Amino acid sequence: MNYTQQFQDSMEEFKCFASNLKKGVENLASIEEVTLAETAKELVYEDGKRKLYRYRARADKVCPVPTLIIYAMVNRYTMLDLQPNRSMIRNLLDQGMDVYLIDWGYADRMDRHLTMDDLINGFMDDCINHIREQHQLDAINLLGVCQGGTFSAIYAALHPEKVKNLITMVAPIDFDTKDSLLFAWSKEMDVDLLIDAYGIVPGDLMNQAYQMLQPLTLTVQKYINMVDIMADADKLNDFLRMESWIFDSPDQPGEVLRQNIKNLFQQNELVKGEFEIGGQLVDLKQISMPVLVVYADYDTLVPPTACKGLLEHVGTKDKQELSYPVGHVGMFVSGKTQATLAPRIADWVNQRL
Amino acid sequence: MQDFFKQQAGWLNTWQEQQQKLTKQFASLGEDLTQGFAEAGKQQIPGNFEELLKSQQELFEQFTSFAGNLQQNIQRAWGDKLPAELLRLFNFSILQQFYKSWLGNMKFPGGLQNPFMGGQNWADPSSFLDSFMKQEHPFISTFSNFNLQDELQKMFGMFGMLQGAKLPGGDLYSQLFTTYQGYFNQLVSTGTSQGFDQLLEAFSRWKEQADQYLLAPQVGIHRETAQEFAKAISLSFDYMKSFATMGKLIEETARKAGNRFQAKLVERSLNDEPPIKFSDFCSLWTKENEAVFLEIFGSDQFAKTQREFTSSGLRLKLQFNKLVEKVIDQTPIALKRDLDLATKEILQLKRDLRQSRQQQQLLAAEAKAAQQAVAAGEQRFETLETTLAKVQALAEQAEQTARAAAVTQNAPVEKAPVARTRKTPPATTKKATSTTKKATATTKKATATSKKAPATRTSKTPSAADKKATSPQSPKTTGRAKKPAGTPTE
Repeated sequence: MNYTQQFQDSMEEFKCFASNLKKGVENLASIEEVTLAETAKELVYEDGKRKLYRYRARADKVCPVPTLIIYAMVNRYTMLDLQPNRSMIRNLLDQGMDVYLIDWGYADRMDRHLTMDDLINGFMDDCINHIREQHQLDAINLLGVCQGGTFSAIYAALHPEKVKNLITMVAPIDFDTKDSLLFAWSKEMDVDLLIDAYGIVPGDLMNQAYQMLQPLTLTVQKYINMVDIMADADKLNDFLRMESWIFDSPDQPGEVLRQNIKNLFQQNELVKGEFEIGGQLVDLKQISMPVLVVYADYDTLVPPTACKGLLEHVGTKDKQELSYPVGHVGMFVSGKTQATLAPRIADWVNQRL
Repeated sequence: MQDFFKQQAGWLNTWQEQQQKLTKQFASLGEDLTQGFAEAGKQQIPGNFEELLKSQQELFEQFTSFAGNLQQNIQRAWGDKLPAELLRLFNFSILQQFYKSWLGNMKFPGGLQNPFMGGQNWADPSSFLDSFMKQEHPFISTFSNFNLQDELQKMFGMFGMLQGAKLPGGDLYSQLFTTYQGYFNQLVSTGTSQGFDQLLEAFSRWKEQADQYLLAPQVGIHRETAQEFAKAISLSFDYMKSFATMGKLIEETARKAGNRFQAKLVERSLNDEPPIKFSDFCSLWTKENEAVFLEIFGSDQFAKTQREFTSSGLRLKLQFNKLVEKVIDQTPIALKRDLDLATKEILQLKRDLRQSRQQQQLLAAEAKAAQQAVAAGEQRFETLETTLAKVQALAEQAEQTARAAAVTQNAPVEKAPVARTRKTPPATTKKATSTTKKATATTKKATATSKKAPATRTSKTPSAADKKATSPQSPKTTGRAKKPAGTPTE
């Protein structure tokens, strides 16, 4: 190939790029609104800004034991129901699961002194009691995601009689890992100064920390790649949904974050059996119900080593792990997980009712 | 939204047509250049080379104007739909820089140097810092300068407002603030080691002068406020030093990363690889730069530098908070501290309320259980009374039957109780008597139970069943029957 040809090919590629940009702007202009989390649900219990939802059943035969999903506070639960064809919640409902979900809401100055005890022994326990009463059951299934998985494990250790099965997804339990920059940076952080200075820690700060894990990919390359998909209205919509979720970062209640970073990330108290909330010591050995640990092989936020730690410390013998070759967010939105993750979870639960 | 689209359609079409025309022209000039170069020989630069460069410049300018226009319109159309943080990254000026760099790296025939970038390229670390750090990309820390800039603005706004209300020493603070703010602006616009060193030196000199006024303030100036402000300046100096340390680390890393990227481009050129496509150019830049940055981000040196940088920023922020509160304290405006105390009390009340509610639920459950037990006892008692009445009726009937039988046999009739006096009563009488006994035993049990509700069998009195088990007539004994067989139970 001669130089001129090569040069023309190269310029041609840029012409396409420019054309995509143009079409993309047209698409942007025609998109009315970016919508997330559209699966039908109803509010069944609330305490201020914290809410408990129950999703409308989508299968003829519904599992007799409901499953409560506990999501992290550092992002919004909408990731689990991003869009109809990428929705873990919808997939679980299609498998006949009866799904409840806790929405932590957006923390504000009023939550300055909120602690993990208020969240776990308080609101979580209230929600679980509410569901147990409604269904006249002694115990229900818990499915905790990311930080919500850590909360779920703590709850299960403190109230094992109320948990039928425990599932943790990409949830950190053993914080003594060098496989993630986030864990390394957290160990060096002066968290007392941070909380004293901010009180309620802005969600944007947390987001920036996540972006630094792949500083150029997440802040530059992603937006260059976006041009390639801009000409396709559906793909552009998908991209914007994901972006809307990423930047929807609630502020963090100071004391909860202080406990999370200081006691868990820095001192790794949970697996050492030294973590205490509400005057109670959390002993993971008390987790006597069946446990399923789900993790992502390429997770740079919560590496597999941090998730699998739970299996070594629980009291139950019925414990299992399940992994996918995806990243942290990919666990919920990747095409690799959409078809099989929910059925595998549902099967595991149904075998243990 | 459709109106917006119609407005955009015109300039977008014009832009695309223009871009295609210029691209074609640029490619055609490249072709002419190749031919001209072949005809004129390698020692002479073909005449149309200048035209090619001009065309390249036009392409870039046209793209720059497009990117600017695009950015403006996206902000206008999407400002209320997407989070501000996303819109900040949704930045077409990035594309513009990539485009410029890509054009500048375009390989010309015969080894002609492409002078488009004028010696500047992305291997230059200050250019890197310019492009990212100063555009508020969170490159050097999660607690980067722009957050602190916001704080500074707020604090200055607050002091400015109070100066308007004739704060004592207003002139002094006004002068200090202006200079102080200037240093901070310089800090975030500095991109080289030398620049950081010069700034630190200048700030240090200014700090010494400011201390003279603040640590021993003139009469009329509030001493404590002045000293707190001196402390803020001192903490600012610490922050600037840590910022400079972090800035230098990033500068060094950016240089390494840029060199690595340039080395890759040179390697391609030496291997006589075809001109790199725009998308590949961008991906290569990201991959090569990020690898170097992540290596540094994972080091102990970075973790410690970041800790020092963030901590000094947070200490300064705390001091700002303190200063602002000190000033607001003189006004009727509520302090953050007051609000925090109030929220703490509200939260504690909510906790107490929850605990009370739990206790109430527990007591209510116990009360309900007790009520149910009483109701059950009463129900049983009523049932037993009915049974007793029936039994009595049966007994009377039996008695009458017995009397009637006696009359029939012309035997003298004894007065009741018939059952007790007859050692060998007829079959019917026997049955009636045993029923009476059983009923009496059950009544006793019911009475004992209803007295001791909730119904828990704690009485030592043997039950009817026990009695039956230990009856002399019965050959069977149960585990619970501790008395020897044959021992009377009544």
